[in-house]
Amino acid sequence: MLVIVDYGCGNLLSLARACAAAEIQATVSGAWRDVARASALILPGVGAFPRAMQALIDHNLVGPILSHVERGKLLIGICLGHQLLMEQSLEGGRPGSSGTHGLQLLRGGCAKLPPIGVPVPHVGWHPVRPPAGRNGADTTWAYTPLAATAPNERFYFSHSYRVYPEDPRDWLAVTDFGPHHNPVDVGESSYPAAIGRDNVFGLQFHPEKSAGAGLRVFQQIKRMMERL
Amino acid sequence: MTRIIPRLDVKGGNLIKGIHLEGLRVLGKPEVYAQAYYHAGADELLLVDSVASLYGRNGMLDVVQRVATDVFIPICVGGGIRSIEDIRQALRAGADKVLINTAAHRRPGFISDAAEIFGSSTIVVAVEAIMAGGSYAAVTDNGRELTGRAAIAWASEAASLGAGEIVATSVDREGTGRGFDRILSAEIRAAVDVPVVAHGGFGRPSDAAGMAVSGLAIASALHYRQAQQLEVDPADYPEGNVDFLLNRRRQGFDLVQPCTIDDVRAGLVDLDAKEGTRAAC
Repeated sequence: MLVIVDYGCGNLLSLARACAAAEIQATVSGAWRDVARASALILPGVGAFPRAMQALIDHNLVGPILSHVERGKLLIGICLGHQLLMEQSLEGGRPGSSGTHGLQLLRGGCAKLPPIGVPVPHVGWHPVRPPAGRNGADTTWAYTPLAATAPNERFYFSHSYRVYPEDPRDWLAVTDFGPHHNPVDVGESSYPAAIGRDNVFGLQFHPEKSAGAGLRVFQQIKRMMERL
Repeated sequence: MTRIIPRLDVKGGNLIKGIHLEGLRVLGKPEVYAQAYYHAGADELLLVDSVASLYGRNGMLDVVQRVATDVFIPICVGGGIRSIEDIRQALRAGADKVLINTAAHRRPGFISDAAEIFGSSTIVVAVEAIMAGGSYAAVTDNGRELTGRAAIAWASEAASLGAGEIVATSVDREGTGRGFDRILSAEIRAAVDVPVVAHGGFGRPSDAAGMAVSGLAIASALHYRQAQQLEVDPADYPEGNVDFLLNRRRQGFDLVQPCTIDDVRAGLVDLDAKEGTRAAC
């Protein structure tokens, strides 16, 4: 049973519907016992990082999520949920502070999308591709939620913050925004659209709101559940 | 790429369109149009309860739920959203974001309260503008109520209070098919750092060219094209003016050129039309 973690941060109906469309046995729950027993977890999230982390703590969900991962079970963070996988975020922090701690499952932090003349929050459909200089999609995306995705398929994004994963192996996919696309992924106009490896993954976009491309990600998640 | 966002105005469970001197015309069921637009490649849907202030909102939540079924693109819901609880109910019914107008004018702090609880990206503020005395005035209630605020300054205030997006409506252009008010869009874009969706006046695909905004909300042109493909059973429409629906094959379309979402997308990138500036995201 896949559990969509309900900690009061996000609209979960679309996620539940997308799981149903992909014939994934899924339930929405904020009860730590359900999370602890889940065969796979989706960690959604909309809103501010510090408030979300506090909600996870208040619901006693941090421990069960971390043990779930330790036991090799699948965890997928979506949008804010993908940012929560990181060590910390500068969101909501005072200038000069090191921000709020996240779940610390992947190395690196989160910070606001830089002002490069593109409106923030970044809202809209953008193509997602493997990071430049890596092997193609077939290799990079095998055994990840993007294994059924073709390079440059468009997904729906809506966010003001991005992740900065320190380990290059954690960069699964990038998206380019703004009028100046940067094909080598340095600089500020490209950022991770998907991160993770093994059993922990993060998707910055909303697969549950990305039409057919998104539904294929859920179908891939179902396949991964059968394997892990 | 600029989002193409069909806008569905709803009354009594029906998709409607206001027609000058005729009142409201029923075009069909919103959930049927929503499904069609989803499959035709719409980027998002905007669902507005056109009489929220008069009849209460339970019927609308049912509509939201029906529309949201099997539609896997973002849905923004507006019309009479007045409280945190209203937002919660809309989201629970299937909305991904909400559009607020009147409630924000009455108490601007509502924007920041809502953004704090639900996240900025969930809170979209509608700035409806009419030209009055040489500048844009912010209005509510489909242009019937002046707020006393200048539209551009209000957009700026709404964004700084935490609105994640602004939908900028030209009430003067709405329903006329004369094209978007490009000056209004440009001024609002210049005044805020958040995405802006332009609404009001789209009449044909070439109206989309060079619109350097985050999204275009379009109603009539898409609905009339979609209506041509509808199967209609009059028994489904116990109320409302259904004359158009029953006689549509004989109707002419003077103001807008009915078109598909693909037509609009083609108009968006048509560099031969308008200034040839590529639409930024």
